[in-house]
Amino acid sequence: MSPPLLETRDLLLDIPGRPTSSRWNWQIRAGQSWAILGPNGAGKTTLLMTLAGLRKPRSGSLQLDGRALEKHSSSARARYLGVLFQQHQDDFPARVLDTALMGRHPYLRSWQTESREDQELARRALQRMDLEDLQERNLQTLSGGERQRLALATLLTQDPQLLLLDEPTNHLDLHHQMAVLALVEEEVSQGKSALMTLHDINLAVRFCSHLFLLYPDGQACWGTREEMLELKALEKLYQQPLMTTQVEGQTLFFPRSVRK
Amino acid sequence: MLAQHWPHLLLLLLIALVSLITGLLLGSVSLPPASVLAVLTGEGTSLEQTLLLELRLPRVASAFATGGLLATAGALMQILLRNPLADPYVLGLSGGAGVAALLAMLAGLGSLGISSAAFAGALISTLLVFAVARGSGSWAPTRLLLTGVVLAAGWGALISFILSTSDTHQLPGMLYWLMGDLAQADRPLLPWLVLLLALAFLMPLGRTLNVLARGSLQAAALGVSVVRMEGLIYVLAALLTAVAVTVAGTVGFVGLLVPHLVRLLLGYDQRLLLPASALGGGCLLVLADTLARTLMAPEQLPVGVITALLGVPFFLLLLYRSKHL
Amino acid sequence: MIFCKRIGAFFLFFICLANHQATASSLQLTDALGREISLEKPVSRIISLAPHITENLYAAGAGNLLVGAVNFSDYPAAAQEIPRVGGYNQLDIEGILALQPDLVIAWHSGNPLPQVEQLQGLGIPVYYSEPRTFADIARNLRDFSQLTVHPEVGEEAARKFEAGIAQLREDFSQRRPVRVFYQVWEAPLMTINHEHLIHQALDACGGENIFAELDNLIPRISREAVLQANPEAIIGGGMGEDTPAWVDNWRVFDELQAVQNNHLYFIPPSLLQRATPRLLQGSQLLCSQLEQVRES
Repeated sequence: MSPPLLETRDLLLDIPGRPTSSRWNWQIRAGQSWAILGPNGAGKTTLLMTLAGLRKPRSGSLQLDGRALEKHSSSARARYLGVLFQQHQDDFPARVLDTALMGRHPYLRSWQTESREDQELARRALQRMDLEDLQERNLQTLSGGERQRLALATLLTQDPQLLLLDEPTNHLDLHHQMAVLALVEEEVSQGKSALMTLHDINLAVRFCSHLFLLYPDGQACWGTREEMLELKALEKLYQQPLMTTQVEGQTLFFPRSVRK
Repeated sequence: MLAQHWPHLLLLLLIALVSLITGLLLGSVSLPPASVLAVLTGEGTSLEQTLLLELRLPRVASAFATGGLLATAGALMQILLRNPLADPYVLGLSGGAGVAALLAMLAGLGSLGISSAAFAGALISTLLVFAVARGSGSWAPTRLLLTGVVLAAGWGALISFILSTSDTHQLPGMLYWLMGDLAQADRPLLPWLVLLLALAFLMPLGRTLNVLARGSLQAAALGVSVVRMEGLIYVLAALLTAVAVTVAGTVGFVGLLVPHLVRLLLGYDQRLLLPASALGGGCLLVLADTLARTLMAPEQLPVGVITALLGVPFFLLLLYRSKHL
Repeated sequence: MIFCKRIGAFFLFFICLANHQATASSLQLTDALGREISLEKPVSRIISLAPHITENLYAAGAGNLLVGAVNFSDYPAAAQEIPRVGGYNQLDIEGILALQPDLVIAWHSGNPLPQVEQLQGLGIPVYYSEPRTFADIARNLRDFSQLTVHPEVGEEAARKFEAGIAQLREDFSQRRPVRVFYQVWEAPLMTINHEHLIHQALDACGGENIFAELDNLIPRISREAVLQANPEAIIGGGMGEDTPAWVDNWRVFDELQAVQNNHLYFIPPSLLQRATPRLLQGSQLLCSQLEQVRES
């Protein structure tokens, strides 16, 4: 069996005030899509940044495709792992097409310029995000939702093996929420993997094959969707009584109003 | 370098050539173009030869390289700090250079001594900001910026102290140095060498800088070694500024204005922006210096005054007419 | 002092001091602004707010009345012992008050006027000095001598000064004009215009200031303009008592007449740039240098 795409070894996140008790040995394999669920402040974004190698763990290590993460060059790493950030730094203007083209950076040598194929990849990504009409626009003039889709288009142009998505549905209207998650699903079906933080359990259930439940005290449990959909576990996760219902064969979760 | 950038750069090169020739043709003594041509072909009177070859040529060449250095350093600082308001002096570098240069003047050193002191002062200030800002191991732009601003205030106080306690005789020299002045700039070799080397070094990094402008996390996620890259930019920008300061004192505004002008006119791709800034900065400083030399001739103005007077209205007009910065 | 700001022509307007029938205990002086100042005699505590004022007080025999002076009051040597009251451009008002002066002599174009007016407001008599001509210097000496018990000392100094300048004029002013570049400073390159005392000294010596027509008292000029004007002599000032190195910097321009004939000179700025009787020495030196140019 080929090595897992990403593997944590005794990983302990570096979150101030976190006890050092729970260390994780977790594997993410090609073809899997993971949702990280947890309440505010549990460390979902920190987990994502740590997996991306952008944040040092307090202890433990990461293996990327069977080798220590640090052993990969930074551009090789960027061909394996791509990140969608929650916040975008737009102090400087840039053309929409150029921003998407930045996804090709890890594939190019420093003196190389983007080829016709690179341009084509970026255009196609913009198309998939419904942004083809905005190609020439300055990104500072985009709306929040358009900007989020542009970040996704850049990530698609980057074309990494594992997509790390921090709140991919942020700023998006319902239509684009579904479109984006369907697109991730499509990528995963072609052999990529995805890992996303989500607030909506129902979207997680609908689009992800695996769940990772992150508790505020640093405990975590993870597994396939079917194993993890325990009402009690989810209620404990959010400190919130839940109820379920079935619609068109899918289990949906709703918060129960708390009685005084 | 992208193919679509060449026409812009060629046009700028042409403008640069025109500004250099203008700088050579005009001065406090008016020389007819015919005699300029005569000098360039090895003829002309001895006075004309001295005026052109010993006074104007080195000064115009120094002005161009200095403007180029400042504009490039400004563009780099703006990327490093992810702040369009950054200029080459934003991290207190001009203050450090200024204090050292004024002290050298107090000690009665010659122009070479003053230049060396300014260079040392600039580097000391750079290292100081570096050490303090990196104290916590983070490169956060706000932290760098704040350190620089506070340090600059400290240098400013020292400069005021030196100015208020110095002999009257030395004040004009000090003030001209602080405003930026090219009257003593007669060694263009060093600034040119540094400018060309820096551009040659930066050109392959243009795309990386583009990515860096989108924030250090995004850049790291796209495979940029952010810490190394930022350290490199920092050192390079400081070096370019330090060299510029040794030539002309602290000429203001070129480093802030030119990258913005280029961005407004030519777009945001660093692969075009850096060489275009270098050319634009060179043009601006040569033209400003030509004005400084001729406006009230034979009386002379410090070039820093002209760069601001020239740059501010032009910049405001462009800003007013453009929808976004 | 030479970096003084330009002053309006009306300051040059002088009213001759009348020989007042003063009472034994009171004294009337008219200062450079034409203001009448009444003083109770004897005046015994004077503060000088400029180095040239200090020097002129000593020359007028009033040095022993000085109780305070600004920085750089360095001539004669005894002046260095006087308690300091700040720099000429930044006065120590408290220090001045603490010395309880009965007269402050201020430099109109050099001192910060609000500070001086503050002193006036506190009831301290202020006399403004603004010597712009040889005659002004002599008048300062005579005025200052009135403060002493031996006015004949200052009168003598003024007369000697006037006679010396008159002698120079007689000997040299009609000689062949020599075109001169007087260099105040190197970086920035600065000279003087026709309003400056040094120009008047040049005039007395038959020298022709090549930048007389510029508007500023101390204009900052280009090297090109000097090369084009091609002076017969270059005279350097500077700061100390030794020739500054930059006088020799002109030697690279061998098309300059002054360089070809080796007429690069230096006159200690203390002899030429201060409006004091020592200006006579500086002018004598200047005249002899211009004679060398004529004789070569």
